[in-house]
Amino acid sequence: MKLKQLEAALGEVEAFEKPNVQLEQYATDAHIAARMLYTAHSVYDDIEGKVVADFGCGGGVLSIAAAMLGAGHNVGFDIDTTILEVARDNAESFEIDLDLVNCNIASWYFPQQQQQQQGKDPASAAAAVAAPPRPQLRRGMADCVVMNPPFGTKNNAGIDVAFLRSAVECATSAVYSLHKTSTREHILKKAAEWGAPAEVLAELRYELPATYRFHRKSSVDIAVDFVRLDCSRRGA
Amino acid sequence: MKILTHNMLMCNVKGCDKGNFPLRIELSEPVSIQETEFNEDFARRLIGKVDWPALAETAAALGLYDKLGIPELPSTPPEAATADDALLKAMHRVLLEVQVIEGKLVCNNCGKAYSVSKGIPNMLLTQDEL
Repeated sequence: MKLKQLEAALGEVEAFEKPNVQLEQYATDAHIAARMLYTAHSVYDDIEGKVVADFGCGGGVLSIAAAMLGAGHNVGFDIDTTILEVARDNAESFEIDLDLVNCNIASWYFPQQQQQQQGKDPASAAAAVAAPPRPQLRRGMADCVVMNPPFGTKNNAGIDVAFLRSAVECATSAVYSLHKTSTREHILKKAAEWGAPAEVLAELRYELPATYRFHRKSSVDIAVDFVRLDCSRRGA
Repeated sequence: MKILTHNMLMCNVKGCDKGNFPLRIELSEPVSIQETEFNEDFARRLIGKVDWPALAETAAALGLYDKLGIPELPSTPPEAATADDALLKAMHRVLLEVQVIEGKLVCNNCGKAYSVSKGIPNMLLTQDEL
């Protein structure tokens, strides 16, 4: 399959009908989704015949791309029950096999109490950070994790790193993710600490349409890094 | 939800960190069986991905060996290089062709029941379980 064919097909994927601001729901556009998965497949051979997990899958565009490129097993995880129904409908109309799980990926390394008390009560926020990880997924269960996580803006500071950490625990080969370019140094440092060295594969312009009422302009461009974390040397 | 996905899920109710895997499947509707294309390379790769004690326990509990007419799966990981066709096909059928549609996943340690509805397990916790 050619990149252009993939992008054209992904343009048909339904996204959020009513995006939820608390969850930082922004659809991954077809252009970016196609490039992410095409690179993972054609440059690194991380998709075809592999177990691919999609964290914060939304309407499932990354999973659908993975399936079109021959992934052996696709599973999408999201906290939002409603969006999983959209993902299921999308998978059906694309005639692809996609398992879906309703779960809170962030809670593994980012306890709920921390999310609620962020910036309000430093003592309990610190206690939450110190709490041991509570995995809901078996370590090493996937070959590759692909995701467009929440960027950790608004009241969610740190959630992007929590997603990334969970992904690194679950993937045995690699993690492909999108992060704000402004956080690059922090992301690269964290990845190195976890033994999963990261490489910025591309710097993208991510166009955020005026999805939410607090957006004053009709759309804003933000700089986003497309990152690959090499998980193959962890535990070795 | 396929059995391969079930093989990934653990209970994470606060304090429940031992005996929280695998989750016991309680069906309220029989499993659905959908044939999918057998891919030998992928099946061989799955040998290293799967938790074998959990897989064997789950397949036996759901009566999948009789239902599918396949040999029993081992409860320890087989050698990937020498796994024969019969084993790979049995794995493929259990992991990728069996779908849990309606029922629940119950933690053998703390008793938490996660519902499965229209094939989607709900692993979200309530406030007091966090």
